[in-house]
Amino acid sequence: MKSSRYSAAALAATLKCCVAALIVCILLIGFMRAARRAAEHRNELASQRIQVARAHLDRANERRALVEQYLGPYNQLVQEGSMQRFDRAAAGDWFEAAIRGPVERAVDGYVIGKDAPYVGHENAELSAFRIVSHPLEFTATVEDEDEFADMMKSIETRLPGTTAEEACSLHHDRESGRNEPLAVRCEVIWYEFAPHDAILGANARGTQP
Amino acid sequence: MKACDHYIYITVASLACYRDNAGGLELVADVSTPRNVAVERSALDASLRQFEAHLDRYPHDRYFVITDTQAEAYQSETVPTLPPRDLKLLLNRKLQQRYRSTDYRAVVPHRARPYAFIRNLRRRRSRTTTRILYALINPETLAPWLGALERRAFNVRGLYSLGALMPALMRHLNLPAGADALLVMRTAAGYRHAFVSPSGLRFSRLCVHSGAADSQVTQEIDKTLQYLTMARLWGVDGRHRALHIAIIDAEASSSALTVPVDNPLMKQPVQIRPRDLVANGPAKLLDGANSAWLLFNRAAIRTHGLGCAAGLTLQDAGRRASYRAAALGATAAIALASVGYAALTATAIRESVKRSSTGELIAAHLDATAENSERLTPKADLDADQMRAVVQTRARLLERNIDAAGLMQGIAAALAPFPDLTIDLLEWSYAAAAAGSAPTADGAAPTPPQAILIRLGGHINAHLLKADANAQVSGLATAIGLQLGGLGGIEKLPFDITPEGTLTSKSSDVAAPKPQFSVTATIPVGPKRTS
Repeated sequence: MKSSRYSAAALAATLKCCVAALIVCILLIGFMRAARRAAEHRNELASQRIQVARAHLDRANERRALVEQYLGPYNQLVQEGSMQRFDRAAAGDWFEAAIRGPVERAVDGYVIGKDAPYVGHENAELSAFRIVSHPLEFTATVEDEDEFADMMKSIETRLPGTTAEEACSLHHDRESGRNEPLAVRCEVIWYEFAPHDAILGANARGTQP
Repeated sequence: MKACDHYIYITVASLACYRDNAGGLELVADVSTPRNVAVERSALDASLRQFEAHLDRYPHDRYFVITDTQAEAYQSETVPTLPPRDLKLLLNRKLQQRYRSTDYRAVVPHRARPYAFIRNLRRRRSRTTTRILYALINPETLAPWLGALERRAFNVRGLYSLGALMPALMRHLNLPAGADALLVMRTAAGYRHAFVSPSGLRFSRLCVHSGAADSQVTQEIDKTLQYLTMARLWGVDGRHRALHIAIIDAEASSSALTVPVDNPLMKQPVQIRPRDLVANGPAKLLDGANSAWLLFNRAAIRTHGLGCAAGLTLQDAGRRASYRAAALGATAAIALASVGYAALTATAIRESVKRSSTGELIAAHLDATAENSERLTPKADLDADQMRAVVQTRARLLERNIDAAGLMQGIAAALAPFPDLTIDLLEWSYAAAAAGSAPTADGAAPTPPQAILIRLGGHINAHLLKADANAQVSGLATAIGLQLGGLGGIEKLPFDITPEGTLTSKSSDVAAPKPQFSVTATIPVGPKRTS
């Protein structure tokens, strides 16, 4: 007599096989889940790499665009002497050369003021250099307003570096006579792009040579 | 071998096995059995061996045992209407009380009639229900065969009396709904009578076949009808259901069978052949003398459950078979789902790996492009941002330059309408002294200069009325403001006004020579200072 598959022993064996099959299924599912998680992790890493590489490329392109846009003007500034260091000894020569243009010997005297670090909205983004302002105050005598304008134009164009005329005073002394010249007193600021370790200078006085 | 339904049909003289193969029902074994088991022991042993040999050929089949003997008893029981569980307990108790000598007992399936509850209420009757109990009352004749099945732990799904299954034939007969029927079926044991009402089987008996043929059939039907009337199962006053008589026999009588009719609701017998009921039935059985095979199907047995095997050890193997099927089915479903999940996950993994590879390629390409861009970037000794800052800073510093020529042109234009005013002093500077040239305490960039302050000083160059002189100075202040796009103001009038608002001299007085005046103007720092 063959043993029936519906006996208690056969049922127990069947149940064991079922349990074993379930365990295999659980292991299979676990393995597949782990493999899927690993694949997704790799996918996430690849996505992150793309983001990093894209940011790298954006930075490189941005830097390239900046360099291409500003390298020319910067080099031109350097060539024009805008990055030239302020030499207190040579400043007098610069100034005298500038005012010796249209009106010879118009300047009576000048004072190169004390160096002062300049901090303003103009250089808020600049960190490679600090701005040192060098005030140049001069007095001059001109015949009329046109002569004054020519002199200021000469100073503006001939002084090297970065200068700005920020204050002026013209006085006509009517008491002395009807055709008295104009007494001029002006302040020109010479802005220097100086390294951070530059030493500030003191006042220096000069007169018309 | 595939498990099939296997029907063991036991009569007093034989045991036949029908197997429901793919090709249909088939008679696979026929074992003759001794009528007197106690006397013909050796014959029984031989039959039993033959039966066991047959069983061993089909160990995985589902076995249904159907008896067709006279050794059965039917009993009607009227019990109160109870919840199903309580009703079952009550009926089991009744079965044990009625049939103490046998374990093979069951309740005939009952079909609740529509609106029976409402009808009982209308008739003011108590809420009762009538059930038919039945039992196989000679268990000794069944024991050898059932023992063989139990020893082998075969999947026995039930033990039934053929009479109890006969209501299933009603679905083959086109009888009016709500009618009673007396079914007479020719079987291997004789003629099986079954009285079926709309609520199910009410009575059954086996009439042993003899050579009297048609006359015997009608006589036995008449006897059954008399019993039904006597037992108040049919023909009761107030119950007006027609009685249809159907005789199912493959060898139909040549003449019409008639029974004495004393009730107009009773119909004459109708002869039906199994071929008429099941046109596509098994060819070998369609024309056989035994029509019991009409009930060897799941549909006939479905409502009977385990039948007379309920509660016996005979059905243990069947229960284990159900457990086995459930376990295997659930395991197969889980395995299938797992395999499906694994397949889907494998696909997803492949896709993910492809995406990862593509992503890595894209990242490498972007890196290479970035490096190429860096390589092509012109070299500079300064960082690009600082280079931009230097250029922009210088441009902003140059903007601090006050356009002296423009200012003077504007002032000259403003002064033109006032020829009597002579300018001795002209000054300009940023309004806030040294604004922006010194850092704030917290290191933040100071506010850039917003305005340029212009100051003009001069004197009256003619003899004017004082009021006219003051008016001209006021006009000059206003004109400068308008000309330079700012706001002009008077710092000093040629002829001051006292706090009381009167001139220090009479307004008609001629102005003294060269009275001094001074006006100021505040103009915003902007691209255009002259009109």
